[in-house]
Amino acid sequence: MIEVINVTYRYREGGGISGINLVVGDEIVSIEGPNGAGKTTLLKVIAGLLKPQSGEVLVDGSRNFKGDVVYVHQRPVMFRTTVMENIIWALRARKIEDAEERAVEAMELMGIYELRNRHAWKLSAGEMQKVSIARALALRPKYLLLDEPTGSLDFSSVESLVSIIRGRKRVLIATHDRDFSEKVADRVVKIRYGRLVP
Amino acid sequence: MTPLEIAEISLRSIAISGTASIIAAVISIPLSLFLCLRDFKGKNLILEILNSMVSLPTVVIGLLLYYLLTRTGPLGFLDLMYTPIAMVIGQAILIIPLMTIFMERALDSRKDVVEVAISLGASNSQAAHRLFLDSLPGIISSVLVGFNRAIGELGVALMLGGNIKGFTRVMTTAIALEVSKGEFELGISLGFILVCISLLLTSAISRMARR
Repeated sequence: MIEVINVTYRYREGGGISGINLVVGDEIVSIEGPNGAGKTTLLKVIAGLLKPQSGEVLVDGSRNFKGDVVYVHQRPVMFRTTVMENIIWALRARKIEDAEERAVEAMELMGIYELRNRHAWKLSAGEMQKVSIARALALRPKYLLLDEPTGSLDFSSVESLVSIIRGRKRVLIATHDRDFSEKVADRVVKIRYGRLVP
Repeated sequence: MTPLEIAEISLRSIAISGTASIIAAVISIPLSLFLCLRDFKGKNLILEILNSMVSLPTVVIGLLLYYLLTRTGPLGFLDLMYTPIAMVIGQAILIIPLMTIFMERALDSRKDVVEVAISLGASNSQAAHRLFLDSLPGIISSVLVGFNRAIGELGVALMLGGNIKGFTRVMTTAIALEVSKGEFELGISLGFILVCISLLLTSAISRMARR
């Protein structure tokens, strides 16, 4: 269970999140809100990439959850290597034994196996997005955080992403795509001006 | 000047500037990684100092090291004055700021890789290693910029090397000598060879880096 307890993270230049309380269990939760509402900030705080100025995040009751929560960036960032290496790198970094099998499985799941030997940074935005999601899925994290995962995907890719996400639990998605949110989420949480709203 | 002498001077230039570039890279890589990845008070000041050191005249560095390495200087006991080692030290000091600034920019342009690596569960050192790998073309370009600066400089080579025939004479000091003797054509020919060496090495290593 992810517990976000009274978390505040404000940027020096303005914006951020204030006093957020949220619990995510075995469910798919969608955080909906317009641009700049604080969706990305909230996900980054949960992922441990931003340290909150106040409040705390607990994952399964622990403050030390590195590796249990994997965050997929809104703008995919590819390592300067092949698609296969992009996916397998983190698995090897974490000394996972069946790294290759997991990478292949994730690529097949995302429909990018045929891209495995291509240079990842030369792919289209949609393909990069799929590599980015495959890279996270291969790690089989306890909790998966997806930031605007449909931003660069075409209709059929969105449909297959819906079924992939529906096939697992403990997913937190930030999106402003209401259709996607309705299709995929068990629960929708709305955020405006850095605060959760009913 | 015989073709054999020209070849010998060319090789010495490459060896001295190449060694200086390797030493400078060994210092600049961790320094630029540190500057890119750590936020601390005074970081901008360090970057500004390094930036201003890029435009420091080579003769000033030559003078400073001359004072240190000369027989009566604080490091005179090392007996390095007018040796290729002194030239290597001088050129390395000359190009470290330049290399560090270029490397820091190359690393900074790929800094988002660090956040991705950490979000995938990598440790800080693994993320830094990933950043290094992803910035390798930029890092190699920075080393080449440093090498080209070193092989083309005159002040340090002349003041610390002394232009001793068969020992510390390199392309730039040979050009200066020939021009001072009124041998302009030979000076220009040597200059052309220097440009060719720089161009060949730069394009060969850049191609390797792109692969």
